Amino acid sequence: MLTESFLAATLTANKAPAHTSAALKDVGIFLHEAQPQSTFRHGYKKSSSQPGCVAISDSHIFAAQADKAVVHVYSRERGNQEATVPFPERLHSLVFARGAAILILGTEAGKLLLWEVATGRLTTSVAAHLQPVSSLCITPDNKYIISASADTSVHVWSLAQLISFLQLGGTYGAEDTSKSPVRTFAAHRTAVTAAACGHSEITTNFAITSSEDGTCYIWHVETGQILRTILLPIAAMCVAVDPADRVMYFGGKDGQIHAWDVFRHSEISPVSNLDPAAIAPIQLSAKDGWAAPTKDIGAANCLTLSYDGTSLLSGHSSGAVIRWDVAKHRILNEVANLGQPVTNIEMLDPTGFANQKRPGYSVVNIVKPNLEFASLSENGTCGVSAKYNLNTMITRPNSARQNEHDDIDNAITGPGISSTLLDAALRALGSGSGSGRGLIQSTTTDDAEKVQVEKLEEEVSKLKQQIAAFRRVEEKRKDKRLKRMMERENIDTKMRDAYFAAVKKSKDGDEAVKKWQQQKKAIDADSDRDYLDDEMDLT
Amino acid sequence: MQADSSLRAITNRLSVTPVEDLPRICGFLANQLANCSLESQFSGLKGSSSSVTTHKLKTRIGSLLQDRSASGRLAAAVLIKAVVEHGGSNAVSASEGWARGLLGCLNKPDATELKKLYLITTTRIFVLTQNHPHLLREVTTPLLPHFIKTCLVLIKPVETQGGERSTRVPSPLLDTVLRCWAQLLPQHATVFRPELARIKAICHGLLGSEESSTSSRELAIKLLCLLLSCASKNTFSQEWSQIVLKIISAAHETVDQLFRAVLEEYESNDPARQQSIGKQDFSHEPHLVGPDSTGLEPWTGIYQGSLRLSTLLAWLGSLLSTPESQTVGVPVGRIVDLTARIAAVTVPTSPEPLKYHKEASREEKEELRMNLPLLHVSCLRLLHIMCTTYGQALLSIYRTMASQAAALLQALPDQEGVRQGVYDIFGFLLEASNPNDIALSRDGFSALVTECCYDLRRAVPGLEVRTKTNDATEASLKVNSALTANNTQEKSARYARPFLERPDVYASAWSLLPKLLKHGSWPPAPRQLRTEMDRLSVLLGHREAMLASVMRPVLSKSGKANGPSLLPFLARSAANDFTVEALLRPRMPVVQVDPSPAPHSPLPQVSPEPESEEDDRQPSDDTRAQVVGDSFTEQDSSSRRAVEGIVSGNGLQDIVTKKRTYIDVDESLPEITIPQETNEEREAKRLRPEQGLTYASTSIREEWSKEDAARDNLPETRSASSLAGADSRPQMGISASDPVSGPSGRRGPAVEPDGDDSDDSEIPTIDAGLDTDEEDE
Repeated sequence: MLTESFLAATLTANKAPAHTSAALKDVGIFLHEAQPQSTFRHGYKKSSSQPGCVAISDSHIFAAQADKAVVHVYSRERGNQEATVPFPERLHSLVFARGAAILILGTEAGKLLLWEVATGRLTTSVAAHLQPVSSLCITPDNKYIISASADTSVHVWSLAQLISFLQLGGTYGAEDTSKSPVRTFAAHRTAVTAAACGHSEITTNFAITSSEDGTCYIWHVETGQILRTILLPIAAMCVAVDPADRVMYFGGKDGQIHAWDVFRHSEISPVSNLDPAAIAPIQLSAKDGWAAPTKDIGAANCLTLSYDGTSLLSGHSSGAVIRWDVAKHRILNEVANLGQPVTNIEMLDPTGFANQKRPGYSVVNIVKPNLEFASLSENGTCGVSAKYNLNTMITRPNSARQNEHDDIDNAITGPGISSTLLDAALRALGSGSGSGRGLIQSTTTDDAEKVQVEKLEEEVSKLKQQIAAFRRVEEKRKDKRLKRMMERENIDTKMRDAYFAAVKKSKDGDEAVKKWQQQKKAIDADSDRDYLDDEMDLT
Repeated sequence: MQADSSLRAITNRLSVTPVEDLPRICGFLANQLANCSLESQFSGLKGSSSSVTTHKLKTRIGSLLQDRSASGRLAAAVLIKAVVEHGGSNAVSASEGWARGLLGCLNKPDATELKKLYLITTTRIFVLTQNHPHLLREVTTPLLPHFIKTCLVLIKPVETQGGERSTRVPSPLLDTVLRCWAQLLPQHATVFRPELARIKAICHGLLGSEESSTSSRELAIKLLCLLLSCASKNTFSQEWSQIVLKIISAAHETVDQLFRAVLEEYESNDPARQQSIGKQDFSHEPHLVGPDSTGLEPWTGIYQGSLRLSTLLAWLGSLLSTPESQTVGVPVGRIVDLTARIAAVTVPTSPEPLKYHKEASREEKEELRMNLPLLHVSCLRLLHIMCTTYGQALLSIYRTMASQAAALLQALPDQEGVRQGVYDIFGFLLEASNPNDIALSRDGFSALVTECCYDLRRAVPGLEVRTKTNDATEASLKVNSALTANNTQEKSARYARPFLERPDVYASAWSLLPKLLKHGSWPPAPRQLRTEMDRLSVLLGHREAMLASVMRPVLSKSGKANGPSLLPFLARSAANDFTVEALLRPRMPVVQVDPSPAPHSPLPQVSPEPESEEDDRQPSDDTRAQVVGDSFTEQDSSSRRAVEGIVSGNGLQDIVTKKRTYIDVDESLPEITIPQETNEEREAKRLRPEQGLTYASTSIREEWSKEDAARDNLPETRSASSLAGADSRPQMGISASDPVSGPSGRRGPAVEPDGDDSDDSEIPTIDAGLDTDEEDE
């Protein structure tokens, strides 16, 4: 469930009422739920601060105390006061640079102090203002700090330039400009009371400042060029800007609220827009204001808008916190009466979003300002002191390193088993024939087996060669024998023929045969020798 | 009932199929189990039929788990995982016996792949119990110690008999076990505590030895970081700081040895480290005697040393990105000191060559040079982790980090890893800050842009990668010569290389480009570099980069746009994109129309939501009105423009685009040369879209290449006219932020010679013409 709350801080001006409950006693900062239920939730005790002197971080509340050079730090998580931090001068305004974890303090002497709450480093700017810094605001991306002062000047500072360890060296012996404002807006003629800025990125962002005489300027932060001039019937104590930069709200000294709708109230002037200074100032009349319920409600010291931008909360000097309907331009109800002048009010971001964006770290405990970082003498080549420690707690894993997960991690954290793992197991089952130990060992004893197999193969090939040799010899012999047998047969037939021919001629057949018998004998002897030769060959 | 019957079918299948065949179908069955609404079946409150089925299923799985064959056990492991995942907490509580059985299986001589599955399923059961105290009590607390012990046995190195000698290789299950532990550790730190010393020793062993694989080393680092949470609450921060300081000092010890050949100019910020190191003995290789501060093994040789150093840096990075339960003091100063020391030693191509010790051998110097990039990449990775973890909390050292990274890029532009690391860091720094705040020098910025463009250009087919001398001006001059080669190249590119291999560095460069363009309007960035970035973003079709270029035109000192806008290219390539739609036809400034309109103006009254009405309107009315009542409408629109000036702060600067005298190609368009005396003051500040287009397209056109001049003229004039059609609707607040806006007034008869736009009724046909043009591209 979404819950939206606001914090309201008071200045202890009146005497505390005699009968208050223990929970409300001494409370200086009220945590009040706005939606869904409008009710008081928690009180942070013993604080009394001037307008613009309370700043809120995700984990802490910083409240500069009125008439004291002290900042009370409350832990939002624990709900108590965590520290009391003394400063060399009285403080007149505070702003917290979220993300960068830097508290920026505007001092009575007109300079800025930058306190890195996670490291304790304190940086000081030059005293560019001649009078106390009355109002501070920081652009959404933490690039520029806009400081307004009663001396009619408004300075724009670069946050990175102010706090960087590494400073650009002045090459031509110029004085160090790193701690000076980067720009000055000097159009105001009387003390500047309030400053705010739009929500766009830095090249197109505007600042809006209002002064005692009821003049408001809307100007471009990067160049200081005036875009619009608005003349209010009464000096504005505070300014709020619609989340989409459509409307500006001014809280007047008389408790009235004035609104300037950028798109509605702009009349089409025939003047070329290329010369913005020539655009006629826009005059808001007193009757256009949103009427306060009573005359004695007191000045509207602070304004804040709900997350959806439809309702405006104002804190008044009488102690009333009033909710205004932005669409109908009139009062909706009085949310609370805190008894003391309400000096600061800030709507907190709603909680309960499914995917709430949070920084990857949180500052659980602040580190009090530590002056040892001021000297630049022992910072070595890198220029950063060795004692510069960042005291934070990492709350979620680094998103840049999330892609290191593989199948196994996914299987452990999510449902199912990836097919690659399963297939590998199936393969192992198929090849390992059940007993996997064998598989491992078979892979490890492979080498020994291989050697043996090679040996055997060699032997086999040798034997095969021998067998082939045998076969060759045997065939040769067979051929010879066959030939001889043929020859003998031939001789036999010739012999027989000769014999019969001799008998026919009535000669002695044996005589005729004798010649052939001798031939046959020769062949037989030859064959015997041959046989022996073959045997010789074998060995 | 559907679920009931399918569960019955699954159970039946399980009991009917022979065990040997089960592994093949168990994956399918497990998937089916997911659809059976097991949670209600296991709730035990249902009718008897389902409880009988679930009982059957459970007993079957149980018997499979006890099966003699490995295939039965494998099927059981897969099915158990499915049942436990989908059966809700009741199934998990019933899984205690199974977990025990799986632990038993781990001791059986099964194949490693099977054991991996057992490990996964067991770990999954433990993970599922994590948010249920009673399950933790019943399942995890009694079994986890047993599991850890079993794992410790499993990951013992395996002895192998390789011929005569036996070697020890790490167990094949090592990585899996480490992963399981890493998943379990954050939640069960107390259970791991008794084994803390052994696990630590194993991890240290992995980190210290040169042989362990990269993945095991990374896992060991992760595990070591998680093991810190085993420490008791009181000592956690202390132990954390101690280990970080130990790692840093071990890294310094390693660097002392590694860089002994170099005369370092570095000066530590820690007074304790400032005393000089004793005399080095150059007779033997650099080495570390005895274990270092973190207890890792000693090393010998430059390669091992740099491996150790990069391991230490990775360990440090992992510590800085692991979630913690308590506040810790991150020694930012010391870490930056360490990276500064390592980054200061670069190869001698850097402007200031290193000075070497005389005694150092040449081999040693050369080996050191070879290993340096590894160290630098590790440093950059560490810095990037710091950036992404702590974001703007490190604002005070952004400049320091930027200067280190820029110096590395300038010294080692050839190393891909270095480039990628630098891109990543600057991608972050530019987003969280801007070049001005991080005090990036002009040279540094130029080098960054040049390298980024170089890496991107390699991915464009047909664009030959020029050697390192990729000067942008030179490139644009060279295009003509590339023209002839282009046809053949394009052909070959289309067929031969449809899928280019994209290295990691390409992805980093890709994401850096829009950020560079966003801040490219920063004055010291040279013009040609900006042109090159624009060109590449068009060629690559990088929508984000084109958008960045359109949104952040380069402004001259007088606040006028200093170059052509990429808007037409963006509109062409991403016409349906919502962002482009929002840019071209913004809805936001609900402009109130003057109740008494200018005499000739045909504007209708606009309701607070003008777009619905506008879209239906015939564009012809507007355009004719422009032609007829030129001066009036112009005055009108210019005054309207005043309205939104406020919204976009410096919208005033953004709109006005400098009148360029760039005349190179399209002299056929007369208004470029014809001076306009009458309205000059006003008009001088407005852009002529034709001109801007012409210029913007000149650099691109050579890529298109093949068209003749007459053909080339067409797309420009046409797109201009189509733009004019959209822009001439005066109530669209576009003019405030859009350099191509003001064409309505300018487009008088001057444009007509082309003939295309003379008749407004022809606008639809232009669309058809556009199609053919696109085909030509």
